[in-house]
Amino acid sequence: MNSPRIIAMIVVHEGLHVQSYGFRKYLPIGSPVESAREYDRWGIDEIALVLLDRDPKANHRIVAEVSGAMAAPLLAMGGIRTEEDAKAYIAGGADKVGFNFSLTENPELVLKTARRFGQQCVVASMDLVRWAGCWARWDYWKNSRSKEDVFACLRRIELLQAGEIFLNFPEKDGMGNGMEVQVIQQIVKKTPLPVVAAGGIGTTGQACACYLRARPSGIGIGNRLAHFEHSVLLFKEALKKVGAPVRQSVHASYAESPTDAMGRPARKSEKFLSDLLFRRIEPEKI
Amino acid sequence: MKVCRRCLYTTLHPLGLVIDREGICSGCRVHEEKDLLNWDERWKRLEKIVQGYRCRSGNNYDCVVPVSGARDSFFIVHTVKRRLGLNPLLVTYNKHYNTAVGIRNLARLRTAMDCDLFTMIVDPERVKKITRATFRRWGSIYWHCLAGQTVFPVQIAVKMKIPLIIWGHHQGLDQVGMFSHLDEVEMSRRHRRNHDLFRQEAEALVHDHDFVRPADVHPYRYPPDEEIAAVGVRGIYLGNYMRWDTKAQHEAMMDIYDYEAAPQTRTFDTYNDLDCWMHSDLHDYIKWAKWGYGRATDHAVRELRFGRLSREKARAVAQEYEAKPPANTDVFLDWIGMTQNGFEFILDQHRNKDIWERDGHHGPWRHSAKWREAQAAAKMEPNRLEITETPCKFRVRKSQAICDQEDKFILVGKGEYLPAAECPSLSL
Amino acid sequence: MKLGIVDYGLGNVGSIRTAFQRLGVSTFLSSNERILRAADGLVLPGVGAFSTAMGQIRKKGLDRVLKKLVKQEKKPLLGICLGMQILAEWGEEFVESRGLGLIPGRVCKLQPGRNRKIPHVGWSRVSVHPPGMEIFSRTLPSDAYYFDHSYAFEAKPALRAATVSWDGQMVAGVVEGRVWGVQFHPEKSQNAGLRLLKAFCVHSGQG
Repeated sequence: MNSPRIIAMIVVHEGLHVQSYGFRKYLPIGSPVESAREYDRWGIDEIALVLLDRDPKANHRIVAEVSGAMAAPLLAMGGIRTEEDAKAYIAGGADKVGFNFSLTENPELVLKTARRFGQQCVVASMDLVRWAGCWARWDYWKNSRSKEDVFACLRRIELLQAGEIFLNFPEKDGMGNGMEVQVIQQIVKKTPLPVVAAGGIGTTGQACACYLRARPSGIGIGNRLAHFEHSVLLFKEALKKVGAPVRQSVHASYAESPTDAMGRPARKSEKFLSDLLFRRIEPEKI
Repeated sequence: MKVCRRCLYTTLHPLGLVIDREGICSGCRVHEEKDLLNWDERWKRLEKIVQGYRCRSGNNYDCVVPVSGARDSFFIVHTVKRRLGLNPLLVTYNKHYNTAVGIRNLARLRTAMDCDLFTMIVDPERVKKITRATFRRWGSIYWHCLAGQTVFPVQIAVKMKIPLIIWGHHQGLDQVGMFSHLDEVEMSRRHRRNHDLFRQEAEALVHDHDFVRPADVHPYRYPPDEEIAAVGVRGIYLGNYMRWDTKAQHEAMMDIYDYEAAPQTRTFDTYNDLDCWMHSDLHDYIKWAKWGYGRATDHAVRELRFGRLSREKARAVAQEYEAKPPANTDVFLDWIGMTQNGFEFILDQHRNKDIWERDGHHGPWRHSAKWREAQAAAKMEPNRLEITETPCKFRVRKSQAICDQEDKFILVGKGEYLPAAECPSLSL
Repeated sequence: MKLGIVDYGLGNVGSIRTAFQRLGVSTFLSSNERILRAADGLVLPGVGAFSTAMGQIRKKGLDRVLKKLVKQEKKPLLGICLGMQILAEWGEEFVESRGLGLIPGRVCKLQPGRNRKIPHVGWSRVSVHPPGMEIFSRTLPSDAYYFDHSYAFEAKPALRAATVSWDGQMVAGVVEGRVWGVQFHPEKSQNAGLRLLKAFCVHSGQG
């Protein structure tokens, strides 16, 4: 059975890995390559690179550099307007490419990419916002709500031979107040395609709540992963504790570590720490 | 290149900078939080975190606190020991470029605070070899200081099983708004590699060309993840929980503990970095060559954001100090065994040629036409903050103790406690 | 020790080369028989459609070359993902097409059903079967691998190196003689993948 994936969202703005708030405000973290390298070292299950700028050459270069720094799957989203862009991302090392704009404005491109590289290479990304008691897709290029019903769009995506659905929630982006669990659950149940969702994670408890209620194939975490050391390991440990069959990805472990309300490590007992003086910690062997 | 409408920073900042739709930079936006957040509440959060790390048996220290002879070390230890009531182990990495005043301040810190102090002193010949290598490869004479300062506390935390490391402020948050105070960002290996070590681990320094062998970088190697996880090491920043104001903090420490403050070559800030011959001198000159601005800009931006300098005054004082030539180049060249020509040859390879140009191969460097055009194009309606304190004054305070050597780097010295006397201050 | 990656214009070879580089093993890319013969072992990558891949392989004459090197000269071969699938006799993606026929079996579309998302994408541990003991000799109990596919290899039990749980058991690896195939991506499976690739290196080095 598949493990639920923990996916790192790396948003790139003007060549920088940035923290993102509501898809409007950004704070600079540093090199997207260094962030990818570190998340990969921590055993991230996948990285989703969200490229916000419209410079194709710069985007192709970033995808290639990021892919070279990691040994886990890479999804490259944003900035794909032509077949050449999709090809460049995949040749640069991306395993999957994500389409949002083209789902509506150029569906032919999505279908062509699926035919050329395989269904498993194509991810359909939707930004969802609340509207009149239910949900609507947000067209960021028009800066307005789409009139197309969300579930009709899902059906269309299945016909375009996408291999995965990626749900984003602009109103939750950077808020750290939990995910939109209910609609994620509805979509997971409705579509035969695997569903990944991101937006709103601030604590490990919120990731657990999303998993337990909605059972998505993967959970995307953005800003929070950059805030403390070994964040990926701590999220996985929290999920394991609620019974999620997460992948044990690296040798370093927080299995014996108590945690605080935010999910950060709390101090182990004094006895544990003094016994540690006599314990050998084995390095990992390949 | 974009320029902030409020402060002096541009998107060429080495840490990265984002300018928002109103033309205000991420650093200024995060600085606004200083006057929006409830600091009493945040102090309580800090108390709650550290409470869990008190060692009740008394068998071990409660935390590790990295210090030096400058840079808010007094304030940090005062906060940790006197206000939070913790039992810290102070650790310091010996920068080698030590000034007499820095040695005295560090000795004063240890005595006045009554704390244990571990020092890491790497063999000078090894440090010189490494510095020759880092200067050749990255144009940096400060690599060993940054590598050492960021790794020694972690090594001690792991070896002695003291999980909590308490730092002062987060440079990225402070300068470019890398994080919000609310993120409660903690120390990470990634940040060290990305921003302090030119995107490489210390091991990458090993190179035949520079005769650097694996044993040479051994002191700078980060402990393995398995050990960090097993001990549960965490590095927190006081600046996330306190309204951090380094000028006010230093002045308080001068009054309580006789902290010495001394004038610097290339900046008006007499409080930070006075423990180092190089930091506000040759190292800053190198920064200016590589990035087009120096520490005086960082300090002017900081004071501007606190409403203590107007934008015009900030720009004027930054330009005034950045134009000053370094005064201590000879001390460095003598120590490392390089000639002036050799030094300049290597520096020019790392000089940003978009910012600097010169006639021929030997003329003086000047700002390039491209740079001047970019600056002119960046003119826009400034965003002004209210001035809350004027003039902006930096005090100078000197001890009457005489140290062995006032004209060279001091590797290890003794500090002597004599009360420090107030001298005429620097008024901006 | 050097490994030859079969170049037929499909498949992301960059990640495979990087993975072997992390193990200190050098690789080269070629579609030339003589050059491939010089390798200690061959790696067959693959991403995309079965029929497209086989079309490319036939165009470059690689079906004949691989049959010769692998079946006659017993060169070790590791097929990855689609590279494993084309080892089969038949594949039914888009049109029914002939595979390399190096391992008996056929490749069929995954069928949708309750709790079965298609493509099968994500990380899973595998159950190692006796024929796969050497391939998975360095595997740790906690090791999981990254899968991403919509078609699966159907092979007799004697050829099953490993299976993965997906509403029943699905083939995750096949083996016959010195020909190995894995449905997952070891080059995308971090240290678990490196351990498997190292097992292939050790096997290839045995001459």
